[in-house]
This record gives sequence, C-alpha cells and structure tokens, in this order.
Amino acid sequence: MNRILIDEYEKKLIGIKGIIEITQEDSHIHLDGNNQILGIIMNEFRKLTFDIESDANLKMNVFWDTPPKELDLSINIQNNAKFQSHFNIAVKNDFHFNYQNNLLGNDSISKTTIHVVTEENATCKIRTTGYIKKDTTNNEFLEELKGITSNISSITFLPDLIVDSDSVVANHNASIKYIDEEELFYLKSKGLDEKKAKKLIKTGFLRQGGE
Amino acid sequence: MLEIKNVNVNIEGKTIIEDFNLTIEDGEIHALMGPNGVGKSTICKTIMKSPGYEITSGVIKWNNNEIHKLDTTTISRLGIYYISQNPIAIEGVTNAEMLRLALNARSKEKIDIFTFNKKCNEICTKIDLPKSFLHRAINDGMSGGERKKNELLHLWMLEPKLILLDELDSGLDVDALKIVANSIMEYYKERKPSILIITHHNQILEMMKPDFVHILKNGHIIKSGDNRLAKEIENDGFSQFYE
Repeated sequence: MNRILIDEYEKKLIGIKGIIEITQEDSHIHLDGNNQILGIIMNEFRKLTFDIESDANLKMNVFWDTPPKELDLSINIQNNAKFQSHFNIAVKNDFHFNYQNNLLGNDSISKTTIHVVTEENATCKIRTTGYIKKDTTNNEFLEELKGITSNISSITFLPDLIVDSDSVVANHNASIKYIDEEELFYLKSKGLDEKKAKKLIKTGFLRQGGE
Repeated sequence: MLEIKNVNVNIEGKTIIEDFNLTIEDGEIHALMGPNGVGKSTICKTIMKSPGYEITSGVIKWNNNEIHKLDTTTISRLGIYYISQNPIAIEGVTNAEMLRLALNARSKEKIDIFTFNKKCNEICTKIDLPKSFLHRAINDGMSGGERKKNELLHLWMLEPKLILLDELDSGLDVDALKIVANSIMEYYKERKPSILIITHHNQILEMMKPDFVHILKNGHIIKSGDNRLAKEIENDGFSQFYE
C-alpha cells in the first residue's frame, strides 16, 4: 500500500492513491486529478484541510480503530468536483471530531458517511457542518451519520446544514442505536457467545460504512 | 430426548403457555398446530430462551440437561437449532464468518479453513444455493425462499440433533417449500435428528410426514394423534376443536 507522508503545512497532491500520514498539527492539502485516500494516520490532535480543486475527485475510505483524540477536518470543494468519503470509527476512549464540508463552487457532489461504534466507557462527539455557498448552482450534498453505542458509553451527533443557495439537493440524517436484541439473539442461537456476537455485529456495521 | 413438563410462559406479564407438556424422543418428528395467535411460536422461542419469554414454572430438558436454566448460546451448542418464521438480516456479517465462529465455538480445535470451505461448497451444491451466498451478509437482500435456504446452509454446517421449525412454510411458494422440506428430510435421513414443526397448514406435513400431530389451545396440547389428525384439520378446520 502506497504511503504518502505529509510533513509540511501546505502540500499539493495530484492523482494519489494510498494512505496519508500526517505529522504536522495543522496541514493543508490541495488535491488535483483523481485521488483515492485509503487511510489517514495521525496521532493526538490534528487540524486537516483538503482543498479539492475544480474538476478534481477525492474518494476517501478511512477506518480508525484508534482514532486521534481530537480532529478538525475541513473539506473545500470547488467547481465540477466530486468528493466521497466513508469514515468507519471504533472509539475506545474519547473522540471529538469537527467535520466541515464546504461546497464553494458549482456542479459538484459531496457525499459523506460516518459510522461509529463506542466500546467500554468511550465518549464520542461528532459535530458536522455542511455549507453550501451563496449563489452556487447545481450541487449535491449528502451526509449520513450512524452510530452504535451502549449503556456505558455515549455518542453525540451535532449535524448542521447551512444552505445559502437555491440550487442544491442537500440531505443529511443521523441515527444512534444500541445493538439490536434480535440480531444478538439470532447469533446466539447459532452458538456464538454474547461477546463474540456483539463484536461481529459492530464489525459488520462498520463494514457497511465503506466500499 | 426433549421433555417439556408443566411449563408456563409469560410474555410481558401475560400467560401465553399454561401447563404445557410434550416429549419428543430421539429421531421423532412432531407437529404442533393451531390457528394464528394461540402461542405455537412461543414454544420454540421459549426452548431457545428468546428475550422476553419468561418461564414462570416447569422444566425443559434436552438429553437430561435442564435447558430452561441455560442461556441461548449454550442451548444452541447442545445441538438445538431454530429456524424462525422470518429469519432476520444482519448487515455486514457474512455467512462464512458467522459459521466459522459458530463451528470454532463447538470444537476443541480451530476449524481448518480449507476443510471449512470444502464443506461449505459441498453443502451449497447439495441445497442448490449459489456459493456466492457464503460471502454475502446473512439474509441481507434475500427473498423469503433464499433466506430459508440460507438457514438450511447453517443447519447442514452446524449439524443439530433437534430442529425447531417455526412456520417454515411462511413466505414460501409451493416449489420453494418442496425444496426446503426435501432438504430437511434428506438431513433427517442422514442424521436422524428430532424435529418439531410449528404450522397451521397441512401441506408441509404431507412433505415431512410427522410421527405425531398435536393441537394447541389455551396454552397447552388438547389433542394428539398421527398425520390423520392434520388431514382432519385440513378438511374441517380448527373450529371443531375450539368450540
């Protein structure tokens, strides 16, 4: 798997495919061409911005089983650009995620799914802000947040959608649940113990959030 | 042998099964019949200790194990297999990974992946299930008939000694029912498990030919007979027993 090191504040990338590794606390990445990010490696708090240039594409599929404690992620999308992201996150401690998604041009698409499960006493707070800029046209924005939690951990979703344009299809939804008792019973009736059954359900749930 | 003695079952504080008794010897096929809503499915769910089904009195024994005191996982590992009326889907969890975990839980040694794959493929061929189903999420996006076939895949892999069929015919057309019933009878011929069939139709019983047929009313069995009892019900309905 290709690993791309980001060790400076500002970097331009064209047509990349692989895992990006962030060493800076604050990084600004400009993307051109068709790009595929298959993972993001970082420690501690990070501020990360992706600028998707006009006519560029970014597909991002991120699985974190130990996410950074805090992350500010901003996506700026220009004209005729396509952005698709799947975040699958297993939170064992605390995780704060501020996710800003800005449609700044015309004729662009932004689709985000975030699937998160909390383990043990974990606390997860995800704030998302989708912004469709004034006077932009023919854009599409979709955001889906889903979580599985338990009675000893918590998930908070704070989705926000600011639409300043009349010419956009924008949709966001969020849901949080406990593990389905029927699913648990079904797996137990096949002989799986409760711990393995819950793990399987959570893994399957996270798997659904990506391709 | 399955022994259910003087069992009472409550659901949300309401008594559904009252003073229920049934014994199924090894290798016997029993059918439990009755109109909708009398509590037939409750029997299967009670045996499997489904959440919400409270055994308030009585004893359920399987091969001398008091399973009314045990949990669902242990009951399954003792060789009891349950096919529900509408098997649920579990997104993102494939048949293969679930079956591997289930088999490893039953065995002292870890199941060899090649042996596992070979057995799965053989069973898929036997029950005419596409091999691709192994790596599909459990029952996800499958028709009713496909779901029941999927449950048969699990059955053949897990090799139970007691099979509980809760309205197996529900949601199946006559051809699909024939395929499913024939596969279970093929398993029966090979392994001679005990089988409990819950139904209110005679069609499946003509295919599976139970040794005993019982009618449920007011939470317990009011009449027992052989397959002719099922024919009687088909001709004259349940009302003759419910006056």
